[in-house]
Amino acid sequence: MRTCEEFRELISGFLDDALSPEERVELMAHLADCPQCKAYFDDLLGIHEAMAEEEIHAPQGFAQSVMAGLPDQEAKPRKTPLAARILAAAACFMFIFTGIWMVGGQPRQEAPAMPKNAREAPAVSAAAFSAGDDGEESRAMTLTVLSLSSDGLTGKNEDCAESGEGCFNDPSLVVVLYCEETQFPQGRPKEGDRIIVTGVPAEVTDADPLRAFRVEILK
Amino acid sequence: MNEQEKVRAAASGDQAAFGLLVEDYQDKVYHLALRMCGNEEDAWDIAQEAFWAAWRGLPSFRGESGFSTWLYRLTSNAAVDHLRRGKRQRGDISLDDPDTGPDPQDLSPGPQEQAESSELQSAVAAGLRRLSDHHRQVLTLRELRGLSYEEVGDILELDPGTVKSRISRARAALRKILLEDGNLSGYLPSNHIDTKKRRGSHEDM
Repeated sequence: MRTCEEFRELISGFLDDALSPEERVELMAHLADCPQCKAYFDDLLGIHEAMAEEEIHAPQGFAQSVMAGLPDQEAKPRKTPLAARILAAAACFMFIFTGIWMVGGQPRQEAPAMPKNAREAPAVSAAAFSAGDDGEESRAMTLTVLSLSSDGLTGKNEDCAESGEGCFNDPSLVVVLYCEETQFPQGRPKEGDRIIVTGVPAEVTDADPLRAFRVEILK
Repeated sequence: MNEQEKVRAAASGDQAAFGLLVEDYQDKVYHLALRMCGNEEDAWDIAQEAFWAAWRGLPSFRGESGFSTWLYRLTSNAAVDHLRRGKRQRGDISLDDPDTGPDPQDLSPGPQEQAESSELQSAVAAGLRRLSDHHRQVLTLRELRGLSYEEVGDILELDPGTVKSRISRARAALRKILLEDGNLSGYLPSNHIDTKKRRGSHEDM
């Protein structure tokens, strides 16, 4: 049997519509028997309604004052024309080719799993690396290596499978990396290795389409 | 233009679109700010700071929580900053003491409030000013903006269970204040005030 103290928590939950049907029945039965809790209930209901129904308007001139003093907006990645273009291209690309996303420099002829029109979207979308709470680019992505080729690898993006954020909500997102040896300080990974791709520059330019990343193999 | 379109346009620097969002939300944000800080002058500053923070941050706003919840979070943050600054200036002891409410000088309602509120609403507003900051925060987010425990928890970085029990305690504390001020007498059996007073010392958390 609950104490009155416990029933008062239920009363609060009742006002928030957060009770199970059983709790609700139990509470109503108690209120019928306990005048103190019934009075408590009535008081809280009165307060609840008074607050919910209160209407307050912002003073005259408030909106104008806000607009007149607007500060500068924070810089954003999509001010980079190429990054914006790649975002659009990558979205289209994924739609057509079911979850293959290009990461790396200019693709070569023997590139792994390289559909033709992907060459128009050779670099990474910055969105793939946007994992910070405040939209800061975390510049890191965890992949499981699916296959290797002479100049790159294909990996499954674990971050996307977990959060779906910044990855067009595709849990099966596959990333194709075009890599140079210098990007593998620990040697080339093997199939099934988990790797972290880091060092992605904040802005991707035409002159240097994302060659600065490094690959670290997780032990 | 729907809200999503306004948010998207504002995020890419469209001031007119942001102006529409300000129009849409100014009453809600100002109301929340007013009840969080307790006076109209601070409410103006807090609400304004919240909108400015929204404008600054919109380019990196990614929309997981919805624009309104995000905006209320910014309002809540601005209110907390404001209260802390005020306390620091006054040399109050602890910035994190959950039992410190605003100054008694902040307790009188402004003219606009008096004109627009019912008697009980005015009493509740006055009572809110005497709640601890922690209690006032959860209760205003829940009651004024109708946010769920999860949303309140998201804003205040608390788990929903903590939000739930803190809201319950906040309501009990607010009722106690209103009873002491004689503002809930119409609801009560006569022996009830004494019962409340006996158990009134551990309301906060």
